[in-house]
Amino acid sequence: MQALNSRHQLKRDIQGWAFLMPSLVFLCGFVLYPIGKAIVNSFQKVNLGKQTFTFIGFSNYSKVFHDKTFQTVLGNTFLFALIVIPLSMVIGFFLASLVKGEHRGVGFARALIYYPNIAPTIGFATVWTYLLTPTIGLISQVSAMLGFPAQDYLNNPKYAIYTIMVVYLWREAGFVMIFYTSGLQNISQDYYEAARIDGASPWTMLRKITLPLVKPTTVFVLTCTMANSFKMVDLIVTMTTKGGPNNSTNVLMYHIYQTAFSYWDIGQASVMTVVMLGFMLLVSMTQFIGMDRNTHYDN
Amino acid sequence: MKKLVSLLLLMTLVFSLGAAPVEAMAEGEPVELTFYYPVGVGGDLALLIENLAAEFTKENPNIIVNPVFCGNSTETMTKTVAAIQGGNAPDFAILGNSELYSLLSLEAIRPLDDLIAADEDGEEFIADFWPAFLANSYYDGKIYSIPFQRSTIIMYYNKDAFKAAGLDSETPPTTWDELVEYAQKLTVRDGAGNVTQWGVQISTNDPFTFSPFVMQNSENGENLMTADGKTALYNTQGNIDALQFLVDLSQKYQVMPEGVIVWADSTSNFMAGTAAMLYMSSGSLTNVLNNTDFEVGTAFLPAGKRYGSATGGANFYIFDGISDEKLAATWKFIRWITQPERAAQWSIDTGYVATRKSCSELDLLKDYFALVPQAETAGNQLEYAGSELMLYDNTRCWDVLKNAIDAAMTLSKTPAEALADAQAEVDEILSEYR
Repeated sequence: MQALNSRHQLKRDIQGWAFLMPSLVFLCGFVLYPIGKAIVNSFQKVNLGKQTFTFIGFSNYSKVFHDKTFQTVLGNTFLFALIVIPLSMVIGFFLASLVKGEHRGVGFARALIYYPNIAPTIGFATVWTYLLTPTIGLISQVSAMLGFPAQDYLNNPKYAIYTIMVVYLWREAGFVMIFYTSGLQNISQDYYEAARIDGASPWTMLRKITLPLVKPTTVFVLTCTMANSFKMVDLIVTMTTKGGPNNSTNVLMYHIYQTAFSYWDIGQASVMTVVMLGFMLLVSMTQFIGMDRNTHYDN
Repeated sequence: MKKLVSLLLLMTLVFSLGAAPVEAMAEGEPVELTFYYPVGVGGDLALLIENLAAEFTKENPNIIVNPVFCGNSTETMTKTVAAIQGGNAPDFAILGNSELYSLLSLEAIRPLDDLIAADEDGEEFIADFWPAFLANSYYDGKIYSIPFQRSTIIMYYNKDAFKAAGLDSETPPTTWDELVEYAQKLTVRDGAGNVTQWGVQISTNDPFTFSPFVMQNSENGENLMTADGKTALYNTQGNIDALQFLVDLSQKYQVMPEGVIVWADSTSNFMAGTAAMLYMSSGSLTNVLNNTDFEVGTAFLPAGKRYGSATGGANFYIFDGISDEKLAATWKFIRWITQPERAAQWSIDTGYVATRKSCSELDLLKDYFALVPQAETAGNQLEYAGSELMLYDNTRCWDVLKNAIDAAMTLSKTPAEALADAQAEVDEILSEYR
C-alpha cells in the first residue's frame, strides 16, 4: 500500500514538473541565467573579441559609481518615474471614469484613447518628432501664431525630458485607462444609489466607495506603470539624440544599452544592470508585501 | 490532385537541392564570402551593393560574394561584434572608418600590408587613394582598411535666397567673418520678430561637424586627437574659440537657431527653405538636389585661420583568421570594387566622394561634374580635410565631446568650462590605454 502510494505520488510529481517544464525552461534560460551572468560579468573585464574574462573585483563598481553620467542618468530615471507614474494613473483613472459607461460612441472613444498603445512606437514617435521640429513643425507654427516664442522642445535640456514625458503619458494613460475601466465597471451601482440616498457628495463617494473598491486594480496598475517607466527606452531611442542634449534625457535603461553595445563595456553595463535589478526587486517586494496585504480581491 | 501537386513540389525541391552542388562541382569548389555592410545615407545603396556583388561573381564564377545588409553604421558594428562573439564573424566588412581602434581592441582584424606587398602594383594602388581618406587606416605603421564609401562635410547654400538678400549667388562666404556677414543678411524675420529663414544651420550635436571648426581654427591643421589615438586634444584655446564661435552664431549674431541642432532637422529646414546655408555631409547631395525646388550651390566650408573639413564614412576591413583561400578571394573583390572606374560610378550613384585620385581623370566623372557641378566641391576640398574624431574607446570619447558641445550650445556651461570638463573625463577614459 505504501509503495503504491509513493509511486502514485511520484507519477503526480512528474506530471506536475512536466507541466511546469515549458515555463521553467524559459524562466531559467531568459531570466535566471542572464541575471546570474550579469552578476558574474559585473566583476569582470570582458574582451568580446578574444572572449577573455578577467576577474577585477569591485573595480567596475567603483568606476560606475564615480561616473558623473551615471549619476545624471539615475537622477533622470527617478525624475521620470516620480512624475510619470502618478500622472499616468490619475489621467488614466479620469479617462476611465469618462468612458466606463455604455453610451453610443463610448466604445469608439475607448479605442481612440487606447490606440497609442497598439500603434508602433517608431511610427508615432517619428510623427511626434516632426510635430516638434523647430521652426517648421506644427507645434512651432501654432505657438508662433499664438505669439509664443518658438522652442526646440526636444533639444533644449530644460524641456527635453518633460517633452518625452508628455509623449509617454499620451501613450501610457490609455494603458491605465483600460484597466480602470474594467475596475470601475465591476463596482455595483447599488453602492452609489445607497450613498446618494444617504446624501453623500460625489467627492465622498469617490473616496469612500470608488477608490477602495478599485484598489486591486490600483495595485496592479501601479506595478505595471512602475515597471514600464523604468523599462522605457523606445522614446529615447527614437526621439532624442542618444539621450541628449548633454544627457538630459538619458535614462538608466538606455545608458545600459549604450555602455554595452556602443562602448562595448560589458563589465560596467553589468554593474548598472545589477543596480537596476536590485532596485526593481526592492520596489516589487515592498509593493507586494505592503499593499497586497491590505487589498481584498473580492471578485 | 492535391497530393500530386505536393509530390511534384517535393520532387522539384529535391532535384534543385541536388542540382546546385553538381553545377558548382563542375567549376571546382567555389569560395563563398560573406560581408557585412551598412547603408549610411539614403538612396538604393543596398541594391547597388547586391548588383556589384553579382557582377563580380559573373566575372569570377569561383567566388560567390554574399553581402549582408546590417542597418546603419552603428548597427552594422553592433552586429559584427555580436557575430565575432558568437564565433561567426563574416570574412570582411564595410565598417565606420573611425572603428579602427575598437576593432583592434577586439583583436578582430588583420593588417593588409602583406596583401599589398604581394600585388605588383600594390604600392601604387594605395598611393592612389586621397590621403585624407587613408588618414584613419593606419595603426603602428601598418594599414588596416581600404577606403570605400567616404564622405566629407561641405556647405550647401540656397542661391535663390542669396539673390533675394542681394548677395552674389556665385560667391559664397569663404571666411568665418564672411559667414557671419552673409548669415546676418540671410536671416529673415517676420513682423512679430519670429525668424522665417535662418542664415545658417550647423548640426551641432555631432562632433563630426565640430571637427572642421577645430581644424579651421588651428595653426597647422591640428585635429582633436594625436595620431596614435591615445590622447584627446579637446581643451585647447583654439577649440574653445571655435566652440565660442558656434555659440555666437546662435546667441550673439542670432543667425542660427538656439540650442542643439540635429542633422535631420537642419537638412529638412534647408530643404524647406527656412535655412539659407547648411553644413552637411556630401553624401546628402543627391537627396538635397532631388528634394528642393530652388537652386542649390555647394562650397568649401568657410575658413577660419585655414580651410578645413572632416571626412567620414566607411572602409573595408578583413577579419583575422579567415582561410588563405578566402583571404585571396576577399582581396580580389576589394581590388575589383575599388577600381577607379567603379569608384567613380559608385560616387555618381551614391553621392559619396570618389576615393581615388585617378578617378578625376576619367571622362565618366568629368561628364558628371559638367552636368552636376555641385558634386565637384567635396573632392576639391579634400586636400584641406582631416580625419573625424578617432580615439580608443571612440564612441565613449565621442559622447563626452558631444555632451560638452551640447552643454555649451544650450548655455549650461561656457565653452571653456565644457571643454575642460570633457578633457578631464576623456583623459580618465583613455588612461587605460596608455
